[in-house]
Amino acid sequence: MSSKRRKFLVAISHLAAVSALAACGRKEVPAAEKSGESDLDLLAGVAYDILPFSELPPASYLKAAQQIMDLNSADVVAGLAKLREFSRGTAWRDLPEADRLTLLSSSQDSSFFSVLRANTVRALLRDPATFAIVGYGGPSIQLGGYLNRGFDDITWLSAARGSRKGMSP
Amino acid sequence: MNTKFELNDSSVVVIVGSGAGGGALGRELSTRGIKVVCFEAGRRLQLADIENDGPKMAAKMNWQDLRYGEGDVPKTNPVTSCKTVGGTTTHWTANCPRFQEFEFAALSTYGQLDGCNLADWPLTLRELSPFYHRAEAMLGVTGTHGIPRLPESNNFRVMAAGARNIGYRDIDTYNMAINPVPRDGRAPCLQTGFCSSGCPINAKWTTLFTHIPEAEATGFFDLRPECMVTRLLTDERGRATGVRYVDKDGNTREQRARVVCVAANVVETTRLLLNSKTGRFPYGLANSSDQVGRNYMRHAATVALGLMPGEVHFYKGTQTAGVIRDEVRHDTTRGFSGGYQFHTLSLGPERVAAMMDPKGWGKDYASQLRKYKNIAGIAINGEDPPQQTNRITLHPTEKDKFGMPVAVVNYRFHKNTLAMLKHAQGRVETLFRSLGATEVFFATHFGATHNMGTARMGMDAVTSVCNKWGQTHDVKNLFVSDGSLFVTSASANPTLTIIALALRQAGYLAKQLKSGAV
Repeated sequence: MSSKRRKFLVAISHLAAVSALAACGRKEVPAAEKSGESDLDLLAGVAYDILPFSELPPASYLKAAQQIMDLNSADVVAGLAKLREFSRGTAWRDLPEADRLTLLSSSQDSSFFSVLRANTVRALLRDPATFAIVGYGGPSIQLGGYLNRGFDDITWLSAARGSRKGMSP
Repeated sequence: MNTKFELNDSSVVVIVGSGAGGGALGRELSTRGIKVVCFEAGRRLQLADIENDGPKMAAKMNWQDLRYGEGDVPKTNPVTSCKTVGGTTTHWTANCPRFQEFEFAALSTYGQLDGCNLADWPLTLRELSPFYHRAEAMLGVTGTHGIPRLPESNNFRVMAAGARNIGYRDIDTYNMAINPVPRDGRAPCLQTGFCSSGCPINAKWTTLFTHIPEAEATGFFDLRPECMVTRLLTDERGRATGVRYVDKDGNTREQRARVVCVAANVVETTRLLLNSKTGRFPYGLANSSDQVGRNYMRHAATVALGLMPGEVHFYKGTQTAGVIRDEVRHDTTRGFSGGYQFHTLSLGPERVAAMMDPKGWGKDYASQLRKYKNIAGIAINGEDPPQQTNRITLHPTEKDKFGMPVAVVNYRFHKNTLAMLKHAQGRVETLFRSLGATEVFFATHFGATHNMGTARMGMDAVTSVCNKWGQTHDVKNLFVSDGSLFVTSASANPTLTIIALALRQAGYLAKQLKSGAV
């Protein structure tokens, strides 16, 4: 086991204990499967925390989650088990945000997190639904390119240029 | 015209590769009535196969076979090249600078650099100029032959305004093999923004849609796509006799030839030469100098992104949309030898995200990515000196599916390159900030698309692989016809020079064939 991996597991078990205590304080501890949250939903929830765009429909995050599931990665299976241990039967989205982010931060050097992060970012940034959010026009050929759709419409430049005239090389 | 030559036709010229070098050479020879068999490892795409989709097109066009990197290059995919008819001209952004005069004479101009293997080219700008001139006409290069330059995009305007702020003057929308107006049966550019994924309207020049069909129309050109050449064959007299290849159905065949020209892009050209060793050529073909695979050069390259105070939408328009040439000069007061150019570059959100922070996540990261529309991009392309230790070798044990040893690309930055990059990054940062940029991001470690050296030309067979025509010193009827020939990298993007050298080589080879010298 790599030291990174060990650190991740230690962090998770620590947080699981904290969370379990917190849960105890609220209500009785539910069984792990009690939330009824599927692996896909759980991963979609984590994907949201990795790259939160509130405008995106749940479908975008589910698609990212599906791509992660499709990897059939042992890291993902093991990581999911740890997430469930941590959440103690509470659905990911119902956990306090601070707990979720603390857990993710503590695991960000793990291979599980790296798989989640890489695939989430890739899936979302290739998702046309994200294009408008970041201000990307995407494929243009079917619209005749950008020649008549703003490829030279910059407006703020003359002001910026004017203010800096005379700067020496 | 569907020309087919026999496998045992020993009068043909075999060309390995159909990109800039192989495509240009094949067209030149076949239009002179010389029989050519052109091998291409990849498949042939049609215009309808080309989409505005980076990852999808990379899957269709890129060389995906395993290669290893050592040193300052990615451990896998140390090089980006293409495996498709047209080679990397399907992927290029179509920048067409010529070399400067001093760049043909690096050793004389700079003196030897510590740990380098600098040499002068065995030819001058004056000698290559007529071929540059012809290549520019063939490719329809903007700013030459009365062809207007492309219009100014937002990204260009940002770069140009910043450049003028910091005192640069030699700025324009560059010499591009992209049609601003209809020309040569090709459409004008619609500024779609996906040049490196292939141009779906054929405004960007490729050999795939120009030189290859022109060669085929002569009736002297037999193109064999999806045929991987695995070995260059020689006889007991040390002459090239043909090539062994694996066709698309997995059959191993041999094509006889009078002359063999290798234009498989640096990594594959090197792999083929090294893998074709025999008792007579124990270190690989044409390698009595031990220079095959050595002096591997990329360019001193950096991509810089500026987070600007207003919207830029830099993805709108040609990915390269302009140049600054002021630093293309030799002036050691800058702390390094040789020069570099700036040109604009645009990237999609995924690659921008990786550049901003390859490990980023969470709310702050999402907020950063929302600024994508405000980003402007500039790439730096500078001279990278040849080092003997920067070399392409064969993996000692690992083989590909054809049984060929996997290539290993060993590359480390020279201190001259690092000093140049530092200078260039400082200038870009000042340029962007002069316009109010709030952040500037850099990426330097990536797989190169500009690959040069490894079978360099020279007068002396002890220190070079090929003569000034690209003919190998050791095997008279074996030629190298791609960027492997480069003695130095200059600051110029290599394709135009590869084509000019191929046009020049074609004339020499035709004469050699006619006189019976080969």
